[in-house]
Amino acid sequence: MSTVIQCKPEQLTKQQSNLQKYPGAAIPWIVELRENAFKEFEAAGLPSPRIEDWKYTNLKALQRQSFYFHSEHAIEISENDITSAVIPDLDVYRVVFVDGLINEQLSQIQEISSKVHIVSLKDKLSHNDKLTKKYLTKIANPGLNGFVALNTALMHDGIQLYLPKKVVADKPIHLIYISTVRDNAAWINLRNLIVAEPNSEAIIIESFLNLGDSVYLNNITTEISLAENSKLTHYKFQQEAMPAFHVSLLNVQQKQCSKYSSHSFAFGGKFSRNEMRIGLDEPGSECILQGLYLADGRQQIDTLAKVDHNAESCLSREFFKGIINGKAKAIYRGIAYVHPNAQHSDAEQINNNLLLSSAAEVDTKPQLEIYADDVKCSHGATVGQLDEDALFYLRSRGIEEDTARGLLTYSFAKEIIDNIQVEPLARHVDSLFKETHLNERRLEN
Amino acid sequence: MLTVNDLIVSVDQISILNGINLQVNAGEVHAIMGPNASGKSTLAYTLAGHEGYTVEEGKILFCNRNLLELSPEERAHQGIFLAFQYPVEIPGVNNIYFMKAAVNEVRKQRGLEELDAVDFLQLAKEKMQSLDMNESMLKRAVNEGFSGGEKKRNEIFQMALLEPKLALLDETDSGLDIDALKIVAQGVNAMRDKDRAFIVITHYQRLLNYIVPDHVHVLSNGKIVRSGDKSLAQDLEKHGYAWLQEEEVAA
Repeated sequence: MSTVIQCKPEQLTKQQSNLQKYPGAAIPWIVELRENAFKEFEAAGLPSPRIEDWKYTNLKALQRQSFYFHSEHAIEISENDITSAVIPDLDVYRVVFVDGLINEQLSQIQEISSKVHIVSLKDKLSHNDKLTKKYLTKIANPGLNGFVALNTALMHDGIQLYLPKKVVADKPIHLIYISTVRDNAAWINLRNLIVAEPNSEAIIIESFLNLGDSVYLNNITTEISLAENSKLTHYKFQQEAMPAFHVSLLNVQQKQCSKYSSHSFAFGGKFSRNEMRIGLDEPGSECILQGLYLADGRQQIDTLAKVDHNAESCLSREFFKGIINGKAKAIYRGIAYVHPNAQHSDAEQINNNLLLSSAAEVDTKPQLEIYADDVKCSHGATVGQLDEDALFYLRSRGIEEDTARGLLTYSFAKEIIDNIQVEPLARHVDSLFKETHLNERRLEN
Repeated sequence: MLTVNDLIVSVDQISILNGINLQVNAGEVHAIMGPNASGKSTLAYTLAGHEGYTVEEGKILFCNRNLLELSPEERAHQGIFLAFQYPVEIPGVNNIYFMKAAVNEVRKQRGLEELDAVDFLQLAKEKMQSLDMNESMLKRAVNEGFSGGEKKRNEIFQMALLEPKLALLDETDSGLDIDALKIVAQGVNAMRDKDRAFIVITHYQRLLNYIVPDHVHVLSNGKIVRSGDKSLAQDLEKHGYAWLQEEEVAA
């Protein structure tokens, strides 16, 4: 149905991008959103290293790549294709996206809707939904950067999850995003909106994976609003293969005494950017951000986690570990910004990195900006290598050097994995880690 | 079994061992004593293959093989075991996983069938019982949060599982109370065998009351300055090491 455009991201014009092909073309406020966002994109382009938040990020490969910006021919996939994302022994409500669009056969949208409201954003955009209108782009500002601007202009599908007051989702909600794109280089925009009303609670799991080995880009923007005393636990498994580009922005706004905790595992893709921006907007709110990134070969894995302490007596924790091998590059930037009225803020950032090769690189920058005077804040970063004494100890017991290195690397990662409270998820990450680590070692050789 | 000839070893270009000669036969227990910084641990690490210890000169033959050509893991496969003075803590790797991997690697290299989880667990429990160890230690991370005594027992436990031909015990008695010392010594004595040898490194005679050596060597400034039978250890206990240095000066 569509004329296919292929071009480098920064050469995309409004005319080419055909905004009227996207859902909500008959709804004025959506059209306006898209048009304004496209203007933002035209003005900003992709982020340049002159912008502090992108200083160490190398976007050259992405800028040089030509992408298809609109694709509606999702390939048929079956249960077998998503096996690697399925979490053994964990009962979930599942939503499967194929190349950016919800696949209804593999999803349980209906079943979920009776308990919590989870619907396709595409449908909501087409039907002028009040909730969508109230929240969309109010949490993630399209003016932030070119990726979110383009995401807003070209948003197509995603989920809109609504947790009514006091509703506790009885099972985790598992979003599986699979890219099948056989024609080269699709640029996929995913847009999620999660609204949790007071005292509601849910667990969200996201898995990103792909079939085949073509280049594509996932550009994901997720907006989350957490009302008083609501609680959201978020797991993200990024297990895409080498040619993938992954750019993700997560924006969370937290009301009084709400709790957000995130466990993110960035294992795959040629380029991945995982950006989290949390606003602790009312007293007593808490966010705990943890993650593990694993970069090998020529991968670039980039984490930015910013927490704004906008109100008093809020707590934030950042705890990220990274393992960097080959000629890979990892970037970590953590920011806790304590605003003047945010007294009794409690903020902590820890970033530990393990460099496994001399050509591997890590740029780490934990940062505190404090404008209140009665706070408890700390930060620290380490970059190290495997402990030679521990290596010798294992080898002296007859364990081969490679195996010993693997064990010690695993031991480094284990602390993050052990912080996962849901047993089947911990086991899933554990095996994912072992597979990825071994596969990457194989790639290396 | 082990022949060390004119061994000179340096660490960071500082010479620590200055010509060691040692012959250890199957079935023997050798004690190596000596003051601090005499090179006792260096000898143990060198025999186990630590890359931080550079062999400048000399030969080490173990069961007629040139030990210096072998990596630490190959030495372990050949039957060398070092009980560390300071066992390393490895958070995140549990003891049972670690030891099963080690035992099976060694068994594979020795041409034996690998043990499955059930058989390994049974073997491990037997060995733990004889060392009066709590089975919960199997599930804990390797040495993490272990007391000094637990760490040393864990070393002997590993030795019992790996069944080496030559065991090097590097100050296994340090940090042990008298009860733990007896248990550790029992563990060692239970393994004494006509085909197995021990090199016991210690500062004190005390351990040698429980593990009675066939030969005692005194190491000083990187050389064996005196060898004898178990009575030499008793002399040292009585007179300390000072007389050795006096003798050296006199000579």
